[in-house]
Amino acid sequence: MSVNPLLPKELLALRVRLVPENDEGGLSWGFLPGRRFADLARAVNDFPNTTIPINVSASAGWISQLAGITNVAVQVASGTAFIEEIGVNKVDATCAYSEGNEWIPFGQMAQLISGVPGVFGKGYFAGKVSSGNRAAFTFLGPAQELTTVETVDAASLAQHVVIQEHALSTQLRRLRKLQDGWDGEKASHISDETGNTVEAIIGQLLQVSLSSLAVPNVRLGPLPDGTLRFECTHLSKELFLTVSGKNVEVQKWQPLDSVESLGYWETDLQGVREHLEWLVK
Amino acid sequence: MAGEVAPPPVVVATDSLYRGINPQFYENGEVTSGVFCLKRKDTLEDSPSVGIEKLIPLDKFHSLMGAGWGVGQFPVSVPEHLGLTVRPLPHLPWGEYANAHAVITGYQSLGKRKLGDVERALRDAVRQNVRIPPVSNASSSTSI
Repeated sequence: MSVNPLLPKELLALRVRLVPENDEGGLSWGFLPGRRFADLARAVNDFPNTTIPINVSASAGWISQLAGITNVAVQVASGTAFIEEIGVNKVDATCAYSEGNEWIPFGQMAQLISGVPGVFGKGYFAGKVSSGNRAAFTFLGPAQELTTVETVDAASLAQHVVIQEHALSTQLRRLRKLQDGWDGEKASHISDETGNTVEAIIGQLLQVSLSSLAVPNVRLGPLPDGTLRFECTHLSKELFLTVSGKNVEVQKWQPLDSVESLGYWETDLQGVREHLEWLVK
Repeated sequence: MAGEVAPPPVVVATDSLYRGINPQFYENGEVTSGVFCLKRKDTLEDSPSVGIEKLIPLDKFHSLMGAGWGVGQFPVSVPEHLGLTVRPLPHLPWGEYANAHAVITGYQSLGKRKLGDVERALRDAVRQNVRIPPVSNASSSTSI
């Protein structure tokens, strides 16, 4: 099973079993609708007693990460916010949203559908889908990979993220104090504008890390021309964010041993987030 | 004659180079890409300096660096595979080792994207073989 190697094993909690269709004709949570999905390595009939209860404690943005852990598309359809509160064991086909701060209280249930990852502010997933769309349950990998038990410890992960944010902020404060010639030659100091942009990116990094349940490895360093560069790696990806005033140059690589980058972009603070999300996706 | 510098040496792909590592480019035990900051407007003198390993002992090269600096080592083949040139450029302040000085050049014609690729590849080359770690910024800031 593919699990984020940067997350300690004890941080991941996921119990996966498959179960057959329930009596009401709906789908039990995590039910695999048989052979209709060609990318199932084995049919669901080979796993008659399997369910997918996923417990998520208080934190944010679990869905895409869970998808990565389980190889199941635990994603929420793009669209609007929930139009009504979802009851226990009840899911409406229109109840999905792409991103937001809505909470999914204990015992409630989200529809599984391939599409744009959704972000839940806090939640617990369990129970059954009584009106789920069969086609919404899409498996991206072999069914036998869904039998691993892992652990997701939201508190520990959040602690990692906060520690990193603190370390980066401390590093930024230090870099702001560099004087001209800090490299022993002609290096420029860090402007306030550059420092402010970097500070905002650190905040974005915190948000993206929490919402994606991922902690990328991030280094922040100066360049002699007075710019600051984030060098971020996560799994097989590397991202450079080079900040000069309000401008941000973006460059990214995948896999890590590739020399040629995937692309180069010039953007601003607002444009950075999508690249951070690419990194942790 | 005394003080006269011998002709610049020939550098071949199998040779090895030293690169000084400013502590500012060493974060949490890793070299950052600032160790090779390349600009299109760089003159030959602005180009990154390296020491030719076969012409200068490691400790001598290290002693020519600033306080707290480290030293990384990588083969000439790395910049050459990136399309760059290692050009011997005698540096008199290095005294008897003046001829061990060279610069990496040939990147001035590259676009921004390729410059980033090259900076990262050179960083990785140095990162793989840090012979003398710099005194980390965290250490230096707390050791006073």
